Amino acid sequence: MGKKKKKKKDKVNKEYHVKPAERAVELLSLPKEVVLGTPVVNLEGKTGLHIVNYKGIIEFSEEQLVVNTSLGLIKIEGKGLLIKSITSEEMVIRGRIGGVAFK
Amino acid sequence: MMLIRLWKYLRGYVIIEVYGFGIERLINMSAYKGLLLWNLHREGNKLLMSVGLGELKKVHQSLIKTGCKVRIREKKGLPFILHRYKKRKIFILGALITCMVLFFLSSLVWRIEIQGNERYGKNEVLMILKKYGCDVGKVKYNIESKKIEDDILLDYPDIAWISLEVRGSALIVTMVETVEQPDFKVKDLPPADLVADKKCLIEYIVTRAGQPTVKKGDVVTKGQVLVTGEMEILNDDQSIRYQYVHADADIFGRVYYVITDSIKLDYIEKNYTGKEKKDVYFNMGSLALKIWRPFKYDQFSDEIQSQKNFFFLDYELPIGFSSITYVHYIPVKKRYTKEEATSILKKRLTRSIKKAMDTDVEIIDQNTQYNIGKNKITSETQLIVIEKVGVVEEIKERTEEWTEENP
Repeated sequence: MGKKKKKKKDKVNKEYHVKPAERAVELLSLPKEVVLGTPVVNLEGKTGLHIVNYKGIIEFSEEQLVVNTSLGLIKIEGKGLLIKSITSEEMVIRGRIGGVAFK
Repeated sequence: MMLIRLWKYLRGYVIIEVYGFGIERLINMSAYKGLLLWNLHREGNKLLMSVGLGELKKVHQSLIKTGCKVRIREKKGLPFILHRYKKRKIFILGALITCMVLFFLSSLVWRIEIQGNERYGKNEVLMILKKYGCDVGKVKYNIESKKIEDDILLDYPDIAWISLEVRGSALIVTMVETVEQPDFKVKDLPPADLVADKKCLIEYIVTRAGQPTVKKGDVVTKGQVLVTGEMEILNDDQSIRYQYVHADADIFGRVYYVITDSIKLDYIEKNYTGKEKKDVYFNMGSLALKIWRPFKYDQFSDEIQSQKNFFFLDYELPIGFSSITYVHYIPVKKRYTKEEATSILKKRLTRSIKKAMDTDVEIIDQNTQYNIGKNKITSETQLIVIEKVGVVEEIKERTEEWTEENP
């Protein structure tokens, strides 16, 4: 339990620091999502969303979609959400998007 | 994108309803197994999704694991259609046979069209083509255009260029004939005189070949020899020898013409009322069936006939519609005034003069006299023109008569 608290503190500190691996990839101008598996969220206008690199869907309803990624949970709010297509690496969301937030 | 949609349709897919508690888990599991799911959306408590036919089984496995219930809502795609037609193999066979027959029939030549032929008649060209293997009913792929074109050009020197083009199931033949060489005056022209074709007064004569027998100012009658091709030549011993040439000269003569014309003063004018009635016939070959017959006008009317036949592709069928339009008029008795009548006569005169005269004719004098009678007006026009006279008439060479006195 203690360790976890420490990690949390570390995480809070590290939010302002860039990991060494990430730094290297940035310097070499390599795509992060391919090398590191960083989740990428593309917002297309108000009605389209494209998520690359996710680990799983936690919750899916017409008004809310919660996705688990390597960097935490992403919550997407909206109306009439529809998963247009889904594979193991990416998913395409259609519908009126209200907001994207990190939980 | 269209390609992907087509691909999905060809493989076949189903739209299924899933309900239960582990819906999200189900989605995760299927996605991780590498299955493609699309159009996932919630409908109340249910989740609707589309999944390809081949992957349905794997989805089912995941379903059982997560404890969800499933129901197939719609089946879409080519595999389902094929299944429906499994019992109708003959239908598919028929469709195939139709395609084959169509393909076979359209690979024959059905029509030959010839363009550009002037001296050669269409049938002549068709026969020539037949000789080289191009005919209606031949397989169009077997016709070697280049070879046949070259062969025809070699064998027929008066065809300058010919091209055979297969367009669809028609063979279009375009050809250009060699330009005919102008006929030069060959020395082999037969001996001939120039003879007057009408009575005239000679105005101008320039002889190029032969001996002129008339001069300017002579009055000649029809048939009179103007330039003779028989020339007398004195031999050394004062005897006469005849040499024959083809007489040639430009002779212009003054010809008198008299043209008479008359017109009646009373005439009937057609006052068109604007009413028209149309009889419509349907004719086949030589039969004509009246299909629309309004009352025929007993009154006066002009008849206009028109015919329209049906066409099948390029061929005119002997079947079609024809109509006779009756344009109604009221005849009115009118009378020309003297001025109107004379102007009509004048117009007729100028028209007929133009028609009758050639281009290289010069009108010297024209004098018209109008005689106004009670019911008609006559005109007499004296026309003096200068025109080319003289026609070629062949002469028979004088042969020496063999008699007992003259050996």
